[in-house]
Amino acid sequence: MDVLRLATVLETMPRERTRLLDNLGRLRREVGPITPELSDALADHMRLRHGDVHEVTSFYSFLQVPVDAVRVCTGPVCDSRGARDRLDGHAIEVPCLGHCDLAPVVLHGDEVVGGVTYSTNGFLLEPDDLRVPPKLSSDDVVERLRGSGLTGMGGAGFPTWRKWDAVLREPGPRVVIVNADEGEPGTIKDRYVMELRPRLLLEGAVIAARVVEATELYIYLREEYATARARLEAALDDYRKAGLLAGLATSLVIGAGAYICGEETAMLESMEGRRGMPRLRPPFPAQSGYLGRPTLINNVETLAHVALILRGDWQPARLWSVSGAVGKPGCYEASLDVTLRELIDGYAGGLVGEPAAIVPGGAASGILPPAALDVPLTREALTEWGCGVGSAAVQVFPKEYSPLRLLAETMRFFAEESCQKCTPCRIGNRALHHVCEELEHGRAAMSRGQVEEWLDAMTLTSICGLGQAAPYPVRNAFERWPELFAPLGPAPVEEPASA
Amino acid sequence: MIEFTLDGRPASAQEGELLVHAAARNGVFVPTLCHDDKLEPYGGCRMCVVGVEGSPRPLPACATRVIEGMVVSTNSNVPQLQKTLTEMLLSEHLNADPGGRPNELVDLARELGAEAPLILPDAKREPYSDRNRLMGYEPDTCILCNRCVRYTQEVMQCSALSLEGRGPEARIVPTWERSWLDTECELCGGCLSVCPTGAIYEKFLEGAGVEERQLEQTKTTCTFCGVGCQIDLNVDPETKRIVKVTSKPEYVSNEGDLCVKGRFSFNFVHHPDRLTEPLVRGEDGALHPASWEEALRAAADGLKGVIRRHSAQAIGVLASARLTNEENYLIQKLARIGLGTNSVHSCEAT
Repeated sequence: MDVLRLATVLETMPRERTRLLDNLGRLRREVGPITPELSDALADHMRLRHGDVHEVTSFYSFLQVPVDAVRVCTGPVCDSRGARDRLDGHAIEVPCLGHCDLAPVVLHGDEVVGGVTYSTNGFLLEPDDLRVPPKLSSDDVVERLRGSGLTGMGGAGFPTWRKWDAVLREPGPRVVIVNADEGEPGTIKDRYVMELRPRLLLEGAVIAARVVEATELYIYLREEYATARARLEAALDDYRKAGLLAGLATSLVIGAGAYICGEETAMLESMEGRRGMPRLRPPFPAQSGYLGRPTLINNVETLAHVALILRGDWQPARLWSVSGAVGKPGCYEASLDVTLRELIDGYAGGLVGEPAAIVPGGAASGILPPAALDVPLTREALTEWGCGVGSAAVQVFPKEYSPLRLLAETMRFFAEESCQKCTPCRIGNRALHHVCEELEHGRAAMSRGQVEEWLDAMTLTSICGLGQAAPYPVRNAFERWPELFAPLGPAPVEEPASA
Repeated sequence: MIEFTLDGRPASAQEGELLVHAAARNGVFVPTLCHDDKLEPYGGCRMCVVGVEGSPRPLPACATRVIEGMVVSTNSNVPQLQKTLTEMLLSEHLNADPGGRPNELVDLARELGAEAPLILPDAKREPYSDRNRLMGYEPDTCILCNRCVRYTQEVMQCSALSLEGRGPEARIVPTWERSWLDTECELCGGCLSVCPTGAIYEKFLEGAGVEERQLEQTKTTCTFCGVGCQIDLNVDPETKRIVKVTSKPEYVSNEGDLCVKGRFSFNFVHHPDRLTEPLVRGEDGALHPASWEEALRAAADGLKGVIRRHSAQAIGVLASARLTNEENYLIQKLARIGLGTNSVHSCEAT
């Protein structure tokens, strides 16, 4: 360790606990991977307990890893395209790097090996000019969002106007956070927005900040998106020069590798310098969010739509990330009720080979069989298939990649990303991953009845969406491919629901 | 008082009372593992979930406050959820009794008839050994309820333990896996006292075969300083020896918290060199047993002799740190009025 370098860097570091993650990220880049000694030095500088910094440092995947490390994505799409062959002694295995259209993906430091290409359409291809947001009253904007029917594009699908309205009703000071911690496997849309239309995103964010009369604006960006970071910084500069950020303290917060930090309350914990473990709700972030202030948290794509809506040239549509066994993987703007077949044939270059399973909206959205190719990808239609539209990340898996393998990898992902706070998510996902692995060898680690009980407990008692939604793909697989689960024995007979 | 409904019966609660407490006062026991009244509600183990009308999911009773008209149910699917959650915890609980401490998870499992349907392949954690002589830690007994870590952070305000990592590798360890002796830990044993499974335990009880339930407790006051912490001496009824010291959250002066001396320094009670009666040095230069009267007279004679030969100013009185306020008052009285010296001090002042 370069002690002189450390002393120089430390001297410039702010002491507020909210800057802990930022300081750790800088130390890693400017001094080296965070060792216990570095962690203690920072703790002493910030007047924090050594243990607090230890807990935070160890929570994230990358703080103890060199900045020039080789990272191999082994998310389901990359895995189905041979990512594990790229693992050698030095590379580290990471879940989903958000470049699923280029699968299999390897990052060398900040650079995507082989370079980045875009395959897209619609507003993502229009020039990213800087526009002064229209001067509208808060009520007007909320009313227009309400009229548009816009819902959050991050996965939960909550009506956007209702969130804004809820924050407005709370006393200030208020905070706006752009959730740019895209991490749901298969999802690349927010990266496309940030790399191709960063000014459009900022337009939406500035509108949000004005409408809820926020004094602070944060963009929480995942660490793996170096290009998005550079383009956002350039766009922020333009905004600053144009005087559009006057009175609005704006900062980029860079994550350090933790899927769960995309969950709103985990993100708040992370930003406040603690482990990114979800909070109990209520209170909701709209009531008590960042540092206890009413906080509006919106997904990147949602805010881009907000800007388009207020520009007056918006048709109900969303960005679909399409990856896996298709001709032209990419990110495509299409209607909200598009079918898988329309999306794949009309935009993504058609199917390659015979599909075995299709994930409609990210790891937790469920798994569809090829029979669902003509189902519109709406919440209502997918509910009938036991699935959700999630973050609209369509992943097509060929028949060479067994649905059981897909399920095992999905559960591995949830197990490794579980924050460990609550029992059902912490243990349930590990157990289900093990059950899938054993099934591949024809063995039953648990009976079907026991698995069903565990799935119920995960859905009902997990603190956040990770544990609550993880059972979806398992239940889908039970229903669509019962033969794969035969070793677990028969499904329990449904008992009539008791009051 | 506010009114709510508990399992179909009318019940009452204090304004803002946690559901787990209100339920208990109304005769319904809700099991908890990660909850501790000293700590902020955490809601991690989920053992205490109960049905609340209007909520799509059951809520943790340890973190939910009763509101007027709330309709709460602990039957329907709650017992099954408790059983499943217990099974989950058991599926990585490889060592139920590392150091003769009570294990609330095992008790709960017995009560609910829960057994682990499988042992997770990654249940085994890296062992931890520490060179201190007082506290041991068995990671395979830990259920990650985080009570110990939260206790160090919220109550002791020290850095001794951390919840490290994420995913299957997550575990609780002394900060950066150091020996406790190399952290801020003062070996107060508070983490041990809040651990529901006995993963942190008294090292000297390892393999001693002392079952918690057979011990007899005698409440007394710690003699180490003037704070007057209330402690329970846990006595083995067969050997009549103190096996360990515990305390309870309801004890007034210390609320169940102790320091390293109060919790761990009781060996002197049974030490063969311990003085159990006054001794006076005789003409022969050796110490001889004496009555209190004889002993005090000998001390008084000695002091009087010093005053006679060198004046009262030759005497200084140094009071023990173990004395109470009242005893210190009497000491200065003895010094100033009885002996006639102003040289009186307590070693607590240094």
